[in-house]
Amino acid sequence: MSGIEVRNATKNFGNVHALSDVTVHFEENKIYGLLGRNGAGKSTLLNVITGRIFADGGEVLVDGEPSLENDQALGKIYMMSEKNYYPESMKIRDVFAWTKEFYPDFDTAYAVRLAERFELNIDKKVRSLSTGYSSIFKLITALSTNARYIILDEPVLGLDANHRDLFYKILIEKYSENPSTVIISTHLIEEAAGVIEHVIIIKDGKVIRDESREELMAKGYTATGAAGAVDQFTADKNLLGTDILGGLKTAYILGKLDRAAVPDGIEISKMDLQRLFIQLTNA
Amino acid sequence: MKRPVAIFYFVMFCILLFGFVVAGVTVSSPSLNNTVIISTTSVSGTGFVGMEAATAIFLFVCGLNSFKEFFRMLTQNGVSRKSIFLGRIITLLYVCAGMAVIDKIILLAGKFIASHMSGVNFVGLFELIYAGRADQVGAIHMNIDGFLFGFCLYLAAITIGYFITIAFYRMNKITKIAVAVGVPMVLLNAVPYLDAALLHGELVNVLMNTMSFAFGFHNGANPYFAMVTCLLISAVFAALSWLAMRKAVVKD
Repeated sequence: MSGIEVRNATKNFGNVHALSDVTVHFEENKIYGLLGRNGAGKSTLLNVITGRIFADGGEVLVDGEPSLENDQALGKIYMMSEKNYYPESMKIRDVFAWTKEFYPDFDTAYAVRLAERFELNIDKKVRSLSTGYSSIFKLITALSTNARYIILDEPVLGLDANHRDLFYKILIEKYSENPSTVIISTHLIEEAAGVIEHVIIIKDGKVIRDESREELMAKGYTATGAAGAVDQFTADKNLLGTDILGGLKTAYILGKLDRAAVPDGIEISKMDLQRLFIQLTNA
Repeated sequence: MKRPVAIFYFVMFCILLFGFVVAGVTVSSPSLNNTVIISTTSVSGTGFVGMEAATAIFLFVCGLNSFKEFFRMLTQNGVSRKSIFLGRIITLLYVCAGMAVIDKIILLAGKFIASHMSGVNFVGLFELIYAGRADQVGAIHMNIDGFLFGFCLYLAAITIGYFITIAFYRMNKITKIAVAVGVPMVLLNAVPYLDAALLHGELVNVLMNTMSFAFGFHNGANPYFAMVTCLLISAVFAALSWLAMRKAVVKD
């Protein structure tokens, strides 16, 4: 089977169950959003996939092959993480050159063009970069590898709004020209929602949602109105949470909407991905 | 490792140049004669003795700095631990062989220059340890043995350093402190004390006899024992390095 398969992955750090029997499948040529609260297990899952840490149980397969200690399998994945793992004294230009040694499809000309668009000086050393430009250099490297599976863990950390907007544009451009599997782990859900095709939500080391963005968003809606009317309307529904502002109550509901059954005085609206995520992970 | 090796030999070259200049001055000044520039034993006249010891120490330090940075970068680029380890071992073999060749060239060049300066000696570490062997074998054989001895010694030094750095990488803070303080305390204080108090110096005798055997002094001076000993040490520490490394995780 093609793609990255994680089967029954478990990882504990002392008494903390970072991953509990996680099974997910990242298919080819899709943009995934891996979402979760702080400490949910997102980075742990990504580190297990890339072999940076060892799972206590389960396995990871890349295109059907076990990825553990497998150069061929690991060579299909490139992960950009929050931390920098390149030597601090290395120039960015040299990072590109070295990355090409390990990823033969690395497009140096493309990397240089991206650096120009982001106004990144590639003759600078890694240690001299600010937080934002460190993220920029890492995501340029990741996008230029042309790896089959690209993992971006917090790609927009420290980026200003302009650079974030540019990143999402570049990601769409690249994905359109040269589709690959991109897994984005981010806290900026609303911004990333526009590019994400499939959503995986992790909570307390377990996968609670694994479906397409459209399917997921179609399952949720909000009902706003007078508190009493809303309570009556939501009595038999899967209620994720509520907000009260003055006399108005907003209920966040997971389920299919029957418009015919909506009483007067209740306003129905779509729940955006971030709101849906908050309600699912608060519940 | 090209840059550190280049810097090392540049410094070595500067020291040797300085030494020869000083030697040239001292031999021309009888009152300053019998000055030993660098030596591990007393050698009459002015001279350079056992320079390869510096190479061994340098390689040990190189071994200590050969893991963390490379492990993080290579893991970032999808290289398995197995490949990282094998690549590192191959690199170590090349570096040790290369430096053994360079040191041999320096030794021969130094001897040539010293031969034109009255009262100046240039003695390699191998010749120093196995001085008697020169009477038994020819010059070419001595040089080949010297190169092989140097290679084996350097390999042992660098693999010990490599293992120490990986072991420390795997340890948590408390274990690091315990090992860094405890091991020297035990080896330098507790063991000699216990040996003197309980074993009446027998342990030291056994150690000395074992070292003598391991380095070929039990029956004449046989350097091949030393080479095998160094190769065994290298193999053991390389194996220990792999055992420590195969479960190493990428740390911040």
